[in-house]
Amino acid sequence: MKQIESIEQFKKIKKRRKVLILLSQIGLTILFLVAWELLANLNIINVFLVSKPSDIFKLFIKYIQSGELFGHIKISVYETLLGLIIGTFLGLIIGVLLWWNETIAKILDPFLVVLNALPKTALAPILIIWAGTGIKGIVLVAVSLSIVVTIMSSYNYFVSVDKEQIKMLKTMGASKFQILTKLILPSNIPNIINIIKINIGMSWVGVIVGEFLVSREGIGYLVVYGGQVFKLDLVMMGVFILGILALIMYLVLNAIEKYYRYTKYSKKSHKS
Amino acid sequence: MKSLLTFNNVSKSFFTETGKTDVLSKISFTLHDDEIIAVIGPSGCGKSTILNLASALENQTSGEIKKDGKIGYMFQRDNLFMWRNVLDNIKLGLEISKTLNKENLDYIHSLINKYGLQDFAKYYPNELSGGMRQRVALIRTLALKPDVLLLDEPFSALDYQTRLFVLDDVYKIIKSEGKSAIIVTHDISEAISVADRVIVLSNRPCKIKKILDIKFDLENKRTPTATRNAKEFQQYFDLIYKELNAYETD
Ligand SMILES: Nc1ncnc2c1ncn2[C@@H]1O[C@H](COP(=O)(O)OP(=O)(O)OP(=O)(O)O)[C@@H](O)[C@H]1O
Ligand SMILES: [Mg+2]
Repeated sequence: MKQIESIEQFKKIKKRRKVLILLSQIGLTILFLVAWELLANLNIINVFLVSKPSDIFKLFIKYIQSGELFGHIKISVYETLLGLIIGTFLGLIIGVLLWWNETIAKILDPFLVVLNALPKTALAPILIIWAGTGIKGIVLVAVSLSIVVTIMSSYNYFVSVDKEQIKMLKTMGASKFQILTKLILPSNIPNIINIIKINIGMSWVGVIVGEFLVSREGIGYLVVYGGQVFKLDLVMMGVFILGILALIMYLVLNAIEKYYRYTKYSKKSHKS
Repeated sequence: MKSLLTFNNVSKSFFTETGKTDVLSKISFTLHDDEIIAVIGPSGCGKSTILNLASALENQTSGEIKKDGKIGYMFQRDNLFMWRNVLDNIKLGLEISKTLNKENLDYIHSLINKYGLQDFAKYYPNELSGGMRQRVALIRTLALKPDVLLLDEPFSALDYQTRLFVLDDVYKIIKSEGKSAIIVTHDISEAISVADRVIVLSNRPCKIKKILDIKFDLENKRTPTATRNAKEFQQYFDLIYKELNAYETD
């Protein structure tokens, strides 16, 4: 490899690699879509079973023009965000509680392990019966998927904080609450961001499963409905939209994470 | 001479599932003002436990500990919080004790200026060298205005070169701030080069084997580096080495 001689050159090389990666990702996507379209047009694959990009796109335009699509997107996004926020917050609060009181943690440990091992989607019908068939039930399914993992992993992160740093705070006379706010939480912000990343996926699964079961609207409903009437265009469109929505949420979180990393740990940007 | 910290026949046992461990047995010594005591002993004998008792992190099983003054604790690792810059790390103790007032802030800034950290106040710990980080850790401890500093193997995480440098640095700071200190170490040279007295401990249950007065003919020019070249150094070294090796096996 060529010797790097200046910081400008180093940055240029890094930037070039970034562009290359992005272009490849876009290229792969286009290649996939074009191949799909071609194979469908040549009748090599069965359009009835797998649909094709142009049909999906036409349907997409139709749904946008009728304004129907936004309603579905809005309700699914709303349910997902609600599930994500409730699941993450409650999970973190319980995680803190377990950290705070080791006895409670010990008592709850086996229950959490069992809850975690249960396939929660199998419980979805019960949860929906309990909470009602509206948004409440669907959000509850989403929460049930993310909360247990959040509790377990946040608790593990909290108890593995460096013992010597805790000891140091104690020598300064810190209370347990101060140890929580000065050390346990701030040192775990990157981990909490990771938990949220995982929970985005979990909440989407919960919402879609919930909508499969009971809903009259939302992306999950579109997919199920499309399947029932054998309109594979509709199913595929739903799947694509799901992918794009999940990607957007992930990107937003990545941006937050990047901002956090940039403002912290480096003097280049002084915090207020 | 004022006595700041006195251990009087202090014993300590730990109770665990596997049984009772007698760690300290009848430890007695006194730390006076303006004095540095080094504690040296085999690993696992209870050196850190002595400091934990002195700072009330643990309670003794029997005996008496008298304290006259505030205690500051410094650890083997600097324990700087990587999400706080140098200044905010130094402020930590004041935040904890809710004494973040103008007077204390001025004191922090005077320390920062005096010990050459003013240009680094906004830096984050991962942007500093190991020696610099240890200095920040010391100033964080000093910010609470302790009378007695407890240092638990404060340099053992540093490489040899840095360690000699930081030892001189910390020694000067402790002396110029007029603090007393107890420094735990497993390095004989380190003990001799900073201490006015060296306490040699035995294996567990740990007793005091010997308390050795360390005196050099250097008057006010004593620094850790200077003592290493002094003629008395080797004698002290041999004495302590012999005491330790009567017990230590590794
Ligand atoms: N909280 C505790 N509970 C039970 N046993 C403990 C506790 N703290 C220390 N001990 C035991 O007491 C003994 C002395 O520990 P201490 O940390 O004081 O030794 P040390 O001389 O500082 O060792 P090192 O050289 O490794 O730093 C060890 O055997 C340790 O296992
Ligand atoms: Mg120790």
